[in-house]
Amino acid sequence: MQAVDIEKIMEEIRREIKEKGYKEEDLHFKDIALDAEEPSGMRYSREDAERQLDYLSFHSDNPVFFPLSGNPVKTFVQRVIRRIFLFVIYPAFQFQNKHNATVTRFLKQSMNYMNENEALMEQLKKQQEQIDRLNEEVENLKKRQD
Amino acid sequence: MNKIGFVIPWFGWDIPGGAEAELRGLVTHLHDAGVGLEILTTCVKEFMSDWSHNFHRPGIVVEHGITIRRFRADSRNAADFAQVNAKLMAGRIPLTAEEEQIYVHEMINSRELCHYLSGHRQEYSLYVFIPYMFGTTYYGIMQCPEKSVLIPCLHDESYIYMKVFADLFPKLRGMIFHAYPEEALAEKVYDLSEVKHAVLGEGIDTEWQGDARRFRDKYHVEKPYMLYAGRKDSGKNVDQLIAYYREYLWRNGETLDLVLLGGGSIKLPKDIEGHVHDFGFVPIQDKYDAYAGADVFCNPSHNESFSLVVMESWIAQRPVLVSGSCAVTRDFVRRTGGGLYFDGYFEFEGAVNFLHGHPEAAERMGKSGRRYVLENFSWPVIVERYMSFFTDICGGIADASHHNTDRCNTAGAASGMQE
Repeated sequence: MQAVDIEKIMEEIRREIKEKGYKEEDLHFKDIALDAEEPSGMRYSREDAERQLDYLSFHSDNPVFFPLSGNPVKTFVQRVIRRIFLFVIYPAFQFQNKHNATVTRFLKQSMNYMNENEALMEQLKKQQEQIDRLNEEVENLKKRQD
Repeated sequence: MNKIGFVIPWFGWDIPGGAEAELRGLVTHLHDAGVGLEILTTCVKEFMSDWSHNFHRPGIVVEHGITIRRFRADSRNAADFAQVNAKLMAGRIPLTAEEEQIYVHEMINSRELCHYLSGHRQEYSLYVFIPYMFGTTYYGIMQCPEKSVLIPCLHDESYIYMKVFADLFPKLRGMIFHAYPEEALAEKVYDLSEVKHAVLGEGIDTEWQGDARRFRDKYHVEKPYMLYAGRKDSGKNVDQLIAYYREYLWRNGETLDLVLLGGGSIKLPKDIEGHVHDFGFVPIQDKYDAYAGADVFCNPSHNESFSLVVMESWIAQRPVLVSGSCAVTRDFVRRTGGGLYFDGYFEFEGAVNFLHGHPEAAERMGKSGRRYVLENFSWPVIVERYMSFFTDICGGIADASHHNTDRCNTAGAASGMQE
């Protein structure tokens, strides 16, 4: 079997485009935005939702301070300033982390609930298909009787 | 020769993930071919889990005849990791050396696993790590780089440019890639002059047949059609495919339908609704039948690391049309002669018209693609290649019958881990 020369075909296609003088401006639908699902968009996608939830779980419990690195003098000053404000920041952080944990827990529960519902819907769909099939059979039997 | 230890951050027979699925297929087929091997992993359930939560019990289990040794994951500072990881995810913001250390140190790690790798190196001919970016891989390779082979699963992303990896990977014994563009990327980023590396591909199931008539009858598609199978999201560039298809209909008449398979959703313009058949998820045999019936299979995605759907279309002997911007799929098309590629609408139109107007050439392309897949990615070929690669590296392959002696010996594993 003779192999197809892909590059030769591509060259021919390009030559034809050039010869016919096609231009991007000739296109009719190039500016029309389509509503394809954004990977991180607002439309429900189980995969994305799970990813978001994972992110939330990951970031719900945050430390009051991140580690310091770099110039030792600078980090010393930063450390001192942090210490001074710790008594103000710490309770707020604790409150925020607790809030994050509650929200994440609630969302996980919602996700579990959605998963259960999806399974039920699937089951219902199958049952409906079965009912339709049976109805069809009943109709056929009735017709045959008539 | 001793057994081979496959090291992965988490392992399970039904967990999601590309590297996870690849390892499952690979170890199963290697084991069936008589290669002595074990899975060495942590007790973490999967990628989506908390990376310090030990879901599985530590110790040894044998599943499907394969020994799996699980080790406790270390506790970690997730917040420190998240801070550095956010920088990496944002793009190529350079990290300081300290930040890179935080990244590898505060991600999934297991001291017990590292201890085991180091203490039991004499029992293994090789350790094979997959994929590249996790702590189990980084610190695992450090235990004995001279026995380490890496299946990196590389993409052009910020993580591959980290200095910690660039310093470590040149010390590897071997590296295995799925496609030539992946190998080229690795050679560009790392010094692999002393590392034996090869493109071995990925194993895929080739033992199936599609029935075009069955698909047309079941789904009531009568016209010739172009097929897309995969997630319908903008990351896969499906919106461009729809826009191009719409333009194609407008300029060429209603000669070709478009069939979409897979998850996700896309709102179609009213004027083409009658020509686009979105069937969502279908049973796997129906998908195979759809491949067989298609005039052409189109994968418009710019970012593929292998493209299983392209391979499946070739198994069904149908030509493919891929994005010219995707190095991997374009490379496959050029190597196989199994289809065409497009940059911009007019090349898309030209390619579709060529395939539509030259059924003999299209058939030759499909056959050529099938031959390439069978010669390169069927499991017997992949197993042979892996065995040959491992043999080249260490001069012999372990025999499965000599191993799996520690069946279900949890206590034994625990004592091994303490060494």
